[in-house]
Amino acid sequence: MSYVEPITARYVHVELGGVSYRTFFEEAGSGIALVCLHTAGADAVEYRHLLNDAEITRRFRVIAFDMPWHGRSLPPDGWWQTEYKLTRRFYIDFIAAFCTALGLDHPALLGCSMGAYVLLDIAHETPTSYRALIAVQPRDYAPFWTQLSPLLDRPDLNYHSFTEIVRAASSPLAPEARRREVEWIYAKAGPGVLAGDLHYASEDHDARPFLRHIDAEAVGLFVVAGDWDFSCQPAHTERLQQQIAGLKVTRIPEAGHFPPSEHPEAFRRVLLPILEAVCARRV
Amino acid sequence: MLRTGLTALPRTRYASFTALLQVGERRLLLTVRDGHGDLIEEPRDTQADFSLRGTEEAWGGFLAGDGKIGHASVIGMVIQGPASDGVIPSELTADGDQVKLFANLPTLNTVLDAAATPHGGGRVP
Repeated sequence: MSYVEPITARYVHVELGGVSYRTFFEEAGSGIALVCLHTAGADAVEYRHLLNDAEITRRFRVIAFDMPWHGRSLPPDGWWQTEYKLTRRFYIDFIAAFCTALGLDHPALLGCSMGAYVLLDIAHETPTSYRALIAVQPRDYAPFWTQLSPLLDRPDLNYHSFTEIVRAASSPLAPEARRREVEWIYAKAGPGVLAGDLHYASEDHDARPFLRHIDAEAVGLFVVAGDWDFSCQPAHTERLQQQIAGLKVTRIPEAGHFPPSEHPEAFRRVLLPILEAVCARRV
Repeated sequence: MLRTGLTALPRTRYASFTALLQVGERRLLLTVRDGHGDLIEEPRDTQADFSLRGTEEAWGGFLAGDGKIGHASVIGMVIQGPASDGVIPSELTADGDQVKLFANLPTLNTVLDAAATPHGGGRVP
């Protein structure tokens, strides 16, 4: 049966550092704004299941946007003259500028992988700007990823091969069609974009020096992690718990590195109680 | 564990590479040329573009589709050590031409899937 999803998609021009970024976003629902941050090298389509979840959109205005250079957010003019490298400063500021451009008042943020790494940076730097921070597969420091960068943007190597790493980091217990969906999302990234994102994830992000200064209850920081991700094992989230006061961690036995898109059912099961807690928080 | 005589595999049409697979003490040379793959046990010439070395247990689990972490693709078994900061040890070691290895990862997994079962039906990763 043919049908139309309740998602609407638009563009917002986000001003940052004298540059206007035409930014694609999708949204559904009403209530508390929940802004979703995609993984490195991917785009907002990773959150299509969340955007279509009526139980969630009944109380949350779910918004997912493509970072510049990703998905349907084109790079700014002149992109061909520079090498794309995502920095911690730009990432934090762009998220804030996007929320301001949409006029969002203390939105909650939900991010996966690098979208979760940045939530640790935000928890330290601008904790009062957001209602809650839901970090999926976060790492305080993940130096390995940048070792892949020399292989990700070269003429003699098809970037599509990287989807094998995506597959290896996803769960064999997740639906095969959803795992293949994540591989497809990765296969369609722009040239050099994943390598540029990994610059932030591996080189510009290091939360270790300030983890002890984060109060999870005060900033509304929650951690979710799938067990099948070799890059975010229980030992890694336990280390976060040891450093961050009051941090709650929920592990997902059936998911890997991409819970929102790889295993939407398992993800929503752990997300719903967290969203209850987000609703109960006072800004 | 692995059958030989692989031909006309899907999505390998333009792939050409050689890989030395060390399974415990056994050595196998995998040759893929324009959609045709072959495995030679204990080859006289072990020259290859790249090699993948692991224990019989590691390879056996991967080829049997045991569903262990990282076993969905050979590259998972290679990088899970450094990607986890040593929390999970790597089960395969990759040497040789890394670009050639990465360029042919999808084909390599297709070939190994086909070689892992008598009827070429593929393992369940």
